[in-house]
Amino acid sequence: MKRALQKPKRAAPEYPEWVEASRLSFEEKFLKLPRPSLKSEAYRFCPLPKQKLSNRIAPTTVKSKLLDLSKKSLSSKLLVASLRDRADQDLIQDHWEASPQIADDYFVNGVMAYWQDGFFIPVPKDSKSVDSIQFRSLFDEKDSRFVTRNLIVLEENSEAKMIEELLSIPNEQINNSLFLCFTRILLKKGSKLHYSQWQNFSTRVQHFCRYEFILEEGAQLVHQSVSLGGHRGQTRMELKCAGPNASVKSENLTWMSGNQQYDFWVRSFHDTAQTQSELCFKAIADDKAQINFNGNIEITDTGQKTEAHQLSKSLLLSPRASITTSPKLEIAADDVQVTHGASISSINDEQLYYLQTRGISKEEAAQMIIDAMAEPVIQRIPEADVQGIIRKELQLKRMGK
Amino acid sequence: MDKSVLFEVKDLHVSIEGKKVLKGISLKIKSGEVHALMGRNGSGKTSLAHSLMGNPKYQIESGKIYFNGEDIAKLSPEERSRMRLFLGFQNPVEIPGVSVSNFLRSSVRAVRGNEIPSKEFRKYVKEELKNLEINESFMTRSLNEGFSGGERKRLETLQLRLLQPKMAILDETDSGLDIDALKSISENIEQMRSPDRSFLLITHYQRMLNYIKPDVVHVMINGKIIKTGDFELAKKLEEKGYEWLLSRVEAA
Repeated sequence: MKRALQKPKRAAPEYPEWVEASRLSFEEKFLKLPRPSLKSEAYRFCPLPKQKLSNRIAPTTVKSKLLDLSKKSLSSKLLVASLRDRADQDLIQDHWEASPQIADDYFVNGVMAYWQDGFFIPVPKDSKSVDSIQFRSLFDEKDSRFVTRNLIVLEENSEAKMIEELLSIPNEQINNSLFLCFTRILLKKGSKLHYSQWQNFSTRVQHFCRYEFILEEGAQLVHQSVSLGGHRGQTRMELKCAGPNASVKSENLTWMSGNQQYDFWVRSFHDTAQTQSELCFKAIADDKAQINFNGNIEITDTGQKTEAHQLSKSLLLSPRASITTSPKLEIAADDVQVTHGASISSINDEQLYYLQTRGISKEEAAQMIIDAMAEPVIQRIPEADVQGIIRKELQLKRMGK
Repeated sequence: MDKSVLFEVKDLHVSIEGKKVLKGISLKIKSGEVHALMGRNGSGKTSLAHSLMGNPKYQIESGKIYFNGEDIAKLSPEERSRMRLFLGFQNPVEIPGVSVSNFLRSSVRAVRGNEIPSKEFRKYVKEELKNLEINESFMTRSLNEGFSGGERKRLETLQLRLLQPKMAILDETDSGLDIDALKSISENIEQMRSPDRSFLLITHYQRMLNYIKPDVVHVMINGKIIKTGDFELAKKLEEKGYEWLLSRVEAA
């Protein structure tokens, strides 16, 4: 079931004063920030878009759509809403600004100044959603710029499954488009979130996405991301375990081909005792594609008994493709368990040979091994129909379409 | 060539990364026969197994490998497999993400050359799982990932039974097994003995051969078969060790 989120009845919403004040404040800050270049550490793998960011677009001229795809039973509770329609809610104001760890990010400030719309998903205290809450940001017109600010709040002891889709219409119908987003996700005490996202923009879209997950005491996050599309993109993800026994398990898959570039940054930040994070980044690069992974585990001196793991596994399918990985550790506590590892390989000959000895052709065996890299991430996405769509997209990608 | 000979290796010389590992191996295995190949670690047994199966890491310098009268030395591993040659691995590789179920189905389809209806396949596999005392949950796990030594060997044996080869080379199927597992796996292999199927069992010890009595026993040392005999030879090796044979060969 697909439905566009209800548009505001007025031509341009009258935002509460604090929203306008916030915009102006971030705009002022954004305009003072130096524009990053390829010489900047954070952007050396991903040049900035040529499009000018510093102009506002009236909400009525937004050329993209937010769609709520959840089953009716969930939508009837109006869990998924347009942020610009609900900007008057205290909950939004309470959780509006980014944490200090990400507050100086160029695109976070850009989004905070120029956001057009976004999802607001509050999950009430003690509630539990059985079905997945599914929502999509869709580019459906040429030459568009879509700046989204999303806010998801799980109140105490609530549980939810969510699937976020970032999609666009095909290449021939879209051009020079830019997608920016900043999504802030708060998991309050004892809440549980299974958050899956997949992105398959046209290769004429540039995308810069910022995610911030904040977990209070005992909160649990299970996360998957699959990134297949876009011409050039950068994702920065902050995972903050801010309460004891908070835990994160995040699996991320990207498959780039042609001239695509994807730059993925993640920081697991632990400043409270007894928290856990486990992150895996899997990259497959074909043709002339370029992928960069920059993973950081940061534990402050108050983060004793933290358990944190990061792993990156990469598969190069072409001699002209490139993958770089930079795992980093910044640890100020002395009683922690931390591991990190990275591997980049082409298709494993031993695995190929084993499958061949079972009658499977070399080509099919290679395919099975590539799928094997992707499949564990896809399998954990909670909805079978979404899994099926992603598998189909991967198949098209394998066929060079 | 004797028509009763199913598998023949003629003066096979093989190297890996420039190092010679097989130095003139010859053997003939008739239809229905079980041959055992024994030898110490590093004697070249596994190199022979992989050379016969077509592992591209092993370079055949000279010699012939005949299977069913056809020279297979230049065929790919999958072509050999489709001719119903099977290698049971000593250390099968892990392939995370490929489920056992998907793998078995792809393999059976490839070797048999046709699709088996899902229902029939599931029923067939279920019976074999029961025979090998393997839990059905095995089927949804990733291939060999996190498997114990015993589980890996059971899975290799399951494949042997599903693929029904004419010629099976089993590389140290007995290693890493406890007594009960050894008995169960050996009995399943023994059940497969037939006049149309031959085996080459590679092992260090006699213990598996107590369940699957070989017709012929070969002893390999330093890339060569230095002695061939019957089951009594395996018993003597168990009793006296490889040193006994080595000293006799050196003396001769």
